[in-house]
Amino acid sequence: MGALIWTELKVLSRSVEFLVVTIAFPMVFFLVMSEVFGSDRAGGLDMNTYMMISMAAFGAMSVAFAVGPRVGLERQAGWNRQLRLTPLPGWGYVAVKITVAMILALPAVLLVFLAGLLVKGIELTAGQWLAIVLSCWISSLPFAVLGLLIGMAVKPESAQPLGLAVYLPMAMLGGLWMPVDILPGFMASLAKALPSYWLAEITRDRLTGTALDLLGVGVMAAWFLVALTLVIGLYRRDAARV
Amino acid sequence: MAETVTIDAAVSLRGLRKTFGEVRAVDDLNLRIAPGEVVALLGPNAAGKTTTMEMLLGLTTPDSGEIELFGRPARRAAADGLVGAMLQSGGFLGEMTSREIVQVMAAQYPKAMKVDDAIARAGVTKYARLKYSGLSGGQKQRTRFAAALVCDPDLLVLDEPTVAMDVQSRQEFWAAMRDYTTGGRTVVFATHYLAEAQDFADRVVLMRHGKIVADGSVDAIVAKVDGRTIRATVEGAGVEALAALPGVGTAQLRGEHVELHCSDSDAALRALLAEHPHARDISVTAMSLEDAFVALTADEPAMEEV
Repeated sequence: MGALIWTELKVLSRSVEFLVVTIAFPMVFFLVMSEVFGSDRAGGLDMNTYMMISMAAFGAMSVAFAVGPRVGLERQAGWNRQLRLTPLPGWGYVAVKITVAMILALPAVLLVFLAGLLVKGIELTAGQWLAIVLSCWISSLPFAVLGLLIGMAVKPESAQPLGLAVYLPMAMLGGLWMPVDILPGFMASLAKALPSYWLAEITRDRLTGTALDLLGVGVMAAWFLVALTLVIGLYRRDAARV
Repeated sequence: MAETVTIDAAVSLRGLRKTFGEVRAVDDLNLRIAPGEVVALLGPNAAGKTTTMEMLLGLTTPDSGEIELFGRPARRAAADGLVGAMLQSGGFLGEMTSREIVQVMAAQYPKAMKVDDAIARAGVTKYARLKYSGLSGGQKQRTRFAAALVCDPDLLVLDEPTVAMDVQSRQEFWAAMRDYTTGGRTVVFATHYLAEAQDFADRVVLMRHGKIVADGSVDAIVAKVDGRTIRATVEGAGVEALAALPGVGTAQLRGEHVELHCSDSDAALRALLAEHPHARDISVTAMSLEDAFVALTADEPAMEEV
């Protein structure tokens, strides 16, 4: 499994588009958006810090939704069929995909935080930095599985567009682009059912000293488990395919 | 140890059936292949060769029937690293180099060959560092061969391995294969090229409409069709009269050139010479594998490709 993960990372790192568009864009967005919203406060944080966490969350999500749908290409090429002839078990294949998405989510998150620290001069304690990095990174797990689900569920050529169609509304309604407080009431309630909302919210709570929101953890765990169950089901369907 | 148990079949397929919609792709197929045999699966398109291979590898689930490789289920045999395969439906990612592909495959097995050895055996060394997407059809096939070989399998399953290769690559490919099978390994390959079956296989399994129609050495298959062809130049012969000669099945006449397909060529030749003492340029030839192939597989309408 290690060799497969390493090879996938190597192949992806050769793609400049992937590195720039997926991993670096959230940082650029952060630098622009934090100017747009100025110096208001939101959610008990100053706007720079608030947007930094939103954009880090957005970055973690973007990577997951860029990596997962690539599975569509692999299915088209017959690569997964070739791997099925090896001792690699089905769960191993799924685990490799999720691991790759998780590994690549980390630099996207770190870049945004680095820009916050170096460009925006956001001051947090080392413990706080560590807490938000870990929170943001671990919370991106449901998205890694969701991206994979899209790659396995639809035809290869539909995977990337469908990925966008899921992840942009999810980012928007989850309040990653603008604070949920300024969304209309019904949208704000809808946000609480989305993992994207909780990804940012739980991470922000690390800075305001709020206790871990169990509703949020539950919502994310539910998305994770449902997506994983579907992924396993689809893998089995693929395995029994004619 | 389980390994010390005598395993008498490398491949054992019993009562295998697979239907796609209305089409019976494989219909009650029974096949036993002993360790060390090199078997060619031969047949027209849609004869069920690919489906048989995919079921044998555990990639397609049969509707009914039993599959065992070295006395264990297909998936188990694959997990034990006993099986290497080149599939038509299997493929690699274009962004990876040939070497990376072979490396990744090797890493999946506890006891793989050295990556460079597999690459050298398959003749991939020269372009091992190029991206797969930029390779020619023949180079891609050889990369796939290296990837199938690297687990050092006891059974190699090859679905039309030389399909995109030019003549020279094809020769090199089979030379590499011969080299590999001298160690007593089992090979099953599907091909459209009769010459490959003739030159390389110990045993030919001829399939049509999902069934085995002939199974044996090339000589045995040719003998099964049982017949020879008499060619001669004969003046003033009529095609009906020729066809009516004893021992003749069908007759063809082009100008003065006579071609008689015979069930008993000795009787036919005597009768021909009795009626036409001036017949000349006479030759009697045994059926080629190609004649046998046509005779055994082409008498019914072809099915759709599945």
